[in-house]
Amino acid sequence: MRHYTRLLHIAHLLSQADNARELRRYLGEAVPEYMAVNWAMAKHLEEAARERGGWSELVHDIHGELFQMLNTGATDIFLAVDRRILLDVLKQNTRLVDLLTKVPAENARALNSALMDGIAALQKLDLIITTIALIASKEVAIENTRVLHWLCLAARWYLREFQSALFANNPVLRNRLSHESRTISNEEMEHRLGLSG
Amino acid sequence: MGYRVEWLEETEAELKVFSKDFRRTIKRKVETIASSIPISLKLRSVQPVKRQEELDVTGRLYELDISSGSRVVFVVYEDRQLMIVYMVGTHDYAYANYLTLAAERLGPLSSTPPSSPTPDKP
Repeated sequence: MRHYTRLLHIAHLLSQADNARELRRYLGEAVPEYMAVNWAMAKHLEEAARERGGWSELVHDIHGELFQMLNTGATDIFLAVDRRILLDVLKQNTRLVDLLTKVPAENARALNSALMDGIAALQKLDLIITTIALIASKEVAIENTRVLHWLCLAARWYLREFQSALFANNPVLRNRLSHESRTISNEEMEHRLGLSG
Repeated sequence: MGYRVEWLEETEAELKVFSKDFRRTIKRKVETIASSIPISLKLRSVQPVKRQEELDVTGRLYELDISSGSRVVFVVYEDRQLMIVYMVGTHDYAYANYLTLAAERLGPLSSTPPSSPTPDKP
């Protein structure tokens, strides 16, 4: 219960932001405490994860519920654009779980590298989703409804940051960078793509 | 004076996944970056790749955000006034690459992308 109270306190702090920039500053400041709370709470979720057959299944179940809430319009507090951002973030989170459980061993190093580059963005995304869930369930009250939009804009920003980390570390690119490869000129490429003339 | 642009041969197949209009958009954005280095490297859509000192690359590595989740990774060689594009694709494409084995990736000619990424409606 003590951890949950701390979590509500963090979410409440974020909900008090006066503008998008201030919210991002609050996010940066709150992440260390959030990660500590998250870690402590995760220990209590171990049993739930065991009952479902593993962490991956538990995360899929939780995201499934959020997906359903957003897709069915069970809550009308989001703008259409914000709903789309949240669906993208949840899709990304589901994919991340898949990556962590299904990536072939030979690509594990590339994935670790991407996680190193993107961990700060991922932690902020996680905090944003938690805060939005607490607001949507009315556990945390907001005075300014724009806060939800700012949270979604921040989510989009950090989602892109994480996707950049995934792109820059992907194994095919790393393979190309470490081998001699043939190049073609800009003009030749224009010709091959049917863009010349 | 602008930098010369070259493309890794494998990027041809990656570009052909996109519509002709979007191929043109990608090419134009790459040329715009090349024409005004170093100023263009400070644009918000251009980000240096992190920890690139760990890679065996003599130039500087950057990622260009095109739009609709599409990205281009290129290397800038200042001494040769050259910019080489190493990869073009969506984040869906990058994601799929993690789940693909090297043997499938490289193939006999090493020129075909591992899967057919679906562009995000460019």
